[in-house]
Amino acid sequence: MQIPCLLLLFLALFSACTPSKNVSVPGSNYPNNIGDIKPDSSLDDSTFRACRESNIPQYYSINSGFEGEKPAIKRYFDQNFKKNRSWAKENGYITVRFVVNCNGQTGRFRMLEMSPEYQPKKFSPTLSDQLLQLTKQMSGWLPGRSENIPYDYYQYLTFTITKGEITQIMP
Amino acid sequence: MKIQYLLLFFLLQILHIKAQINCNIYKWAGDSSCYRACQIYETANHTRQGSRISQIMYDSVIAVCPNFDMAYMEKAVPYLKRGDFVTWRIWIDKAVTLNPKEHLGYRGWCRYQFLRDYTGALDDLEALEKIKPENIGYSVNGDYHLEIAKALCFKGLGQKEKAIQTIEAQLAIPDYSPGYYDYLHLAVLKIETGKPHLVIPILEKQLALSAAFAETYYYLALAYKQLEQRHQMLENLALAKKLYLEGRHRLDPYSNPDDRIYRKDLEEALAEW
Repeated sequence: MQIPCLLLLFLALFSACTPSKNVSVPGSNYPNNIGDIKPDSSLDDSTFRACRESNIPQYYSINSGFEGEKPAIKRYFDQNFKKNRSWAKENGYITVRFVVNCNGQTGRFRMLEMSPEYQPKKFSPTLSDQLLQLTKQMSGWLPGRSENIPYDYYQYLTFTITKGEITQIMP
Repeated sequence: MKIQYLLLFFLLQILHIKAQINCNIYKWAGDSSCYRACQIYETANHTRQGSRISQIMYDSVIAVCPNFDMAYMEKAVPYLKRGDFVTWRIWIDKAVTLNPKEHLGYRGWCRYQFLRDYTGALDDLEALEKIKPENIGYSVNGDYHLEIAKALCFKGLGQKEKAIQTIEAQLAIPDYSPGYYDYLHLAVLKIETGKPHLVIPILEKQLALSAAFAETYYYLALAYKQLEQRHQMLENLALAKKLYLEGRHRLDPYSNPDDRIYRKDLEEALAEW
């Protein structure tokens, strides 16, 4: 699939009528797809397997979801998230991204932390680790489906943290 | 065969959604670099969003024509959709800097849609109003005029009366065609501000405007409940449940829309109301 695309790129780059200075294609370290999570034995549960490693779509491009829908996700964190007074100045967003496999099992959890101004930041580890652990412990993710075929998929949860409390869960 | 038709359909949708640019404007202006960049951009728009080749092609556009704002915007999109909002902001901010009239509304909408960053979204939409006072346009998915998106942000910040005023002001504009969910959100705000008697005519407008979906009937039922009209309440609740089970409820592939209802809402209403 990539060879025809590369061909398209070079055709586009060099097909313009006016000859001008040569343009080099910028090098990059992009993954095959933005957001891909490579398995990492130092982080991941070794028993977790994607059913089809070569094609893990995003949650929004197939049928996917959580048993009980968003209210069940909210209820889970309402019931299990333990607040701490020392987090009163913690504000921003914590995103936990992971893979749901075609059997509804989860793995490859990665965390992104961001300030209210969309800058990278580090939250108190006790806060961010709790959210990571709670997300890992969730059960109820539905296997992806498209045309009645089960799929793995990438999912994320973004928690808005206001004064150390969860005030929003997206998507 | 069906899959092939579906793929073709989605490809056509993608091509339709991607912004079309007339590359000849660069040619006519004698800007051969940006003309070439524009051709690469058009080719890039045919690649799979977020794929390595797609990102490299947008980088190529930027390398050839560093002021090509649409390439920054397109490069940013997969980061947004996959939860990397820090990287999204790096690239979308460049697009906004280069062409605020084109991208401020989009950035503001995305801040609302993906993060419910009400304050940030309002900052962008109000900044857009200053430079484009005639009409700030629509959300990228076409569901909302951005004035309605502003109202949803006011609601998110707890300013419900201001949200009502904003929606009503937009609906009062003579040549404005109401959006698909404008009346629904207005009706919910009326319920939440203790004015159920005003809700029914609003939701009747919603029913006239759009195909039936569960939320309209659920909120009609809620209004009838508050007005203590049990028969109408049960009738509308049954319709809401039927539509919900048929999958005819509010959906957005990227996030759960405001004022959507869930199965739990219906089950609780049927058990308790």
